Amino acid sequence: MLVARVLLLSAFVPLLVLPASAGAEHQAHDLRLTTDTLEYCQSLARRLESMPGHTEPTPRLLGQQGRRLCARGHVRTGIARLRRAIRIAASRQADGG
Amino acid sequence: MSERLARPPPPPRLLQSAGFRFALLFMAIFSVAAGLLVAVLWWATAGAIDRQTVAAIRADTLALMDRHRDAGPLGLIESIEDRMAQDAEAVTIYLLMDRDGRKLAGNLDHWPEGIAGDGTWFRTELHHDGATSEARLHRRDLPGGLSLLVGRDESERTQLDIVMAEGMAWSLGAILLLGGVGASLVRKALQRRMAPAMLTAQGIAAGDLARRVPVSLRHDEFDQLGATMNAMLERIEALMSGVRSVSDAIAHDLRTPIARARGKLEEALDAARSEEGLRAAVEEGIADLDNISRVFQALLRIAEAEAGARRAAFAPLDLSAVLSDAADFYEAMAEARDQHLETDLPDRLDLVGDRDLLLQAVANLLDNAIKFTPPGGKVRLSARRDGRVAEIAVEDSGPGLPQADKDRALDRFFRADASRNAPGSGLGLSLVRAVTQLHGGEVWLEDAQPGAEPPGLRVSLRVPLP
Repeated sequence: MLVARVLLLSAFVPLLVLPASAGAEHQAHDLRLTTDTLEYCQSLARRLESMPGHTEPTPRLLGQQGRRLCARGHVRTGIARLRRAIRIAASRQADGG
Repeated sequence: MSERLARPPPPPRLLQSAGFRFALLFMAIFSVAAGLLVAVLWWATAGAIDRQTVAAIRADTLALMDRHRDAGPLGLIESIEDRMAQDAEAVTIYLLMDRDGRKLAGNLDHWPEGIAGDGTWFRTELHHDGATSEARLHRRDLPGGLSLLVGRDESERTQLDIVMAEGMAWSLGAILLLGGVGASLVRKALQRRMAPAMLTAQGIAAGDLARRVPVSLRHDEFDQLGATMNAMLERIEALMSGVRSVSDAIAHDLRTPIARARGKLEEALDAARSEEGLRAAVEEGIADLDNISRVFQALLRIAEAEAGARRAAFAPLDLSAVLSDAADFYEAMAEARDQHLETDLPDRLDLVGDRDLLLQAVANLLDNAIKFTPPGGKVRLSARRDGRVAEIAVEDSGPGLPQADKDRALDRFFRADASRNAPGSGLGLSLVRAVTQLHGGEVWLEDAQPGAEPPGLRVSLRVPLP
């Protein structure tokens, strides 16, 4: 019976290990992200326009889609498009520079 | 009372079933195996994501600190803005505060209160876009009173944890269900296979000793158990039959001497004319009762030898000396009957056994031989070593025994028709057989001189040597 008890206990060890994080204590804070707002979408659009590579076809197209999505209320998707546009423009800029 | 109190309570009824306990053990083994599998899966997936996240945060933090060292606060702010602007996956988290608690850059709405100092790692809930997710954050303090938080959204890992926990819960449920069904099946199978043995045992307990366990052709453990039980029952039946026949023989053979003693005493009571006559009758009665007592002693001795109780008293002995003693004792008796007792014994014959019982056995043989040999006859006691066996033989020139009587001569209370009138109880040869078997040997009867008339009788004992 002792063997059976040990087996049963060891079966639940993974349940104890599973939620444990790698050395980071969980703390309760009421934190909120500020990069999912329409204002941030607009600031990204302005940032894209200020970049030299924004006239390239792909960044331009992604930028247009991003602005349109934000204007229609799909802020998160719009921000994602604008970020991709900025990333491409920045890489072209880095390649060109 | 105290013993009853000290006894542990019996296990629950379900746990009393061996089948259920077996199934429980298998279920536990399956659970451990499933648990180990989940642990390995977690280490390979969620654990890997965790380690990647920590590495990414650490590299990002070091890069930002380098930037601050190279380009100052403005360069750092610019880098943070760049990183946020190019984060198409929306997983990065930054917050840079000055010494006065003013936000300089980042995408957190405020500095979390109560977090420890430089180098702290922590996890917290994060609200964004109407949803809540988990985030891992790392704090570093920079020169100039700046405080930096760098982190990553861990929604993906949280989702994976949920999926794995759900999977584990389902697996556990399935294991419990299968274990329960398995326990029931194993229990029923065990009960079905044990049923014949149990029914047989119940039948025997109810008095039907002829019952036997049916044995199938599978030759599995249950069949082996059934066969063993059947062998045991055969043995018990044989022993009980022996006990019954002995009881019958005792009742039959002792009734006569007891009735005779009673008759004599009764007759003396009615007919004795003097005190001497009465005294003689009482002495005769006592002698009869002594004979009965001797019969009981002989029976007890046989029972003792058959039970092997005296095996503990075995000791090394010289069988030649024992036989020589017996011959010396009976030589005078043979001479008184005008018989000749011959011996043919080796100088020494070492044996491990019970000296008293061996002497008694040989004495019984010599007593019988002298008793049934006519005057002028011959009795011979011999012994020899035959390999690892000692052979002892007592032969006489008496009338011998028909074959049918030879076969039964070793049974208790057997008396050949020709010897009905001779004194004796019919237990002498039974004791010889019991003593021989106690020493691991065998005994048999044969004609001393086959074909001759009279053929005589030869009783031989073969006892293994150490």
